[in-house]
Amino acid sequence: MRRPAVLFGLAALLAGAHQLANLAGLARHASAIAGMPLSAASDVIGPAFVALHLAAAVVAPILMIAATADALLRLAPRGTPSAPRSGSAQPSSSEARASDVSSVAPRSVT
Amino acid sequence: MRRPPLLLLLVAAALAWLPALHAVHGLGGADREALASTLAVRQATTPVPPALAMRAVNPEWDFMRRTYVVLALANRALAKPPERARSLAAIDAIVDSTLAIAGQSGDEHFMLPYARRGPFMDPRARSLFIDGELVMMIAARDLVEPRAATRPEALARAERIAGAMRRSPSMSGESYPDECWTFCNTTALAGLTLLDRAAGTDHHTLARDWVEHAKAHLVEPRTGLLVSSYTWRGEITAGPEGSSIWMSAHNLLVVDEAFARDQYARARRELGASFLGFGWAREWPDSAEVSRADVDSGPIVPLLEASPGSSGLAILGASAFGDEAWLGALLASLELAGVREEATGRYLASNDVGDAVLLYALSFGPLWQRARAPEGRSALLEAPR
Repeated sequence: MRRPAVLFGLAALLAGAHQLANLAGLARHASAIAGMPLSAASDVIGPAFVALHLAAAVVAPILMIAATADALLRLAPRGTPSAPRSGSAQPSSSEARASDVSSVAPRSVT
Repeated sequence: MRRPPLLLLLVAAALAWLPALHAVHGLGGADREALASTLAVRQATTPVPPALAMRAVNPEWDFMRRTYVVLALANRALAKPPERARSLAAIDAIVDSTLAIAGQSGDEHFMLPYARRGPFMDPRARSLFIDGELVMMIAARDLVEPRAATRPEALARAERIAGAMRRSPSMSGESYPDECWTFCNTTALAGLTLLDRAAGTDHHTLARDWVEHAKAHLVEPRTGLLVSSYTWRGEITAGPEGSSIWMSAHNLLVVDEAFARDQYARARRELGASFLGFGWAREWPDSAEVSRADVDSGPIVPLLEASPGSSGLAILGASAFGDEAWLGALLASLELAGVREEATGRYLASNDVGDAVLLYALSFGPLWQRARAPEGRSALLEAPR
């Protein structure tokens, strides 16, 4: 589960940084985009804030979706052997599924 | 199941999210009205706010903000009778303040410093930028409800505009010494058309002659778009620009609708862009030889070539020409990237002129409709009180 956690973490980091920048009042420097800098630093802070704002709106949700999909795929059964068409040498499909789940389960909780 | 590669996962997630993004940031009808209402209340409550910071960057913005707010409030006064008294009071405060400042400090108060670089080519003329927008402000007010106090001012400036345009070899008045702008000349013509409707003057021959001259001399051959600026004698100094053409096309709607629609369609094709439900406008067409960001275009967004100045005025163009799909896309971009402040409704990546243009675009309709009403309808307007 390391990869989904990393993706979730990155998304949370972007959203958190955006929130913190907002609380710190950096959003007001965005006026530099319209040629109205608040201070000399606005020419750097303004575009940087807008980039962070866009990242929080566009990139963070993508990371969240990817993380969710990744986690769900890892929780899904690793594979389902097809049932034997004839003969009894092969285990039944329910036996196969049970053995498959048992083999996957310990890994998926770690 | 094998774990999919990270890149594949991210691409799949992007393919799922990006097409839905515009729906999250889109502004529906109710959202637009709520936004316009918030902006209108702010403008009507403080019609002449301090503009020191804006003036330090560009004094023209102080003046243009006034024009767009007056046009927006005139539209809202016509569309929403309960707001009429408040809107008219704000309009009067703006017009009176503007006339007082221009009277005391001169037109140059609202102009860039190079206004003083020399005399106008036409010694009897004054800045068409100032005269044109003032006539438009006063006439817009009069089309809602006539006001006697400012009518003589509008008539005097209208006469000066008509004289300057008639005397000019380019059929155009100067905004700055030896510098004519299609933005200002079409604004002046629209202002004169509004005044004709409100005061019974007649400038339609002048307007018709200007359009004929413009079609022959002020249209860039490659794009068919009106150029932005030229000398008094008509030598082109800047080709088509988004920061001019959207407003010019909007102005021409009350002057020559067919030409206006042609210009909008060309501008849309040459400068308009949209992707995944988001829209933006470029400042220059592909064929432009020189393209350098300036105070009108604003900083150009790399790769997309999006211009804040052009995109902001494109919202007005899309609204005026009923281009609903692109208007929605432009507003979605503004909502996504404009950094909206919840408390005030303002977009922090914009400025006071941007707010005024947005308010006007969201309120556009009734005033131009009244200006274009059939001839007999003007008799419905009251005489000035």
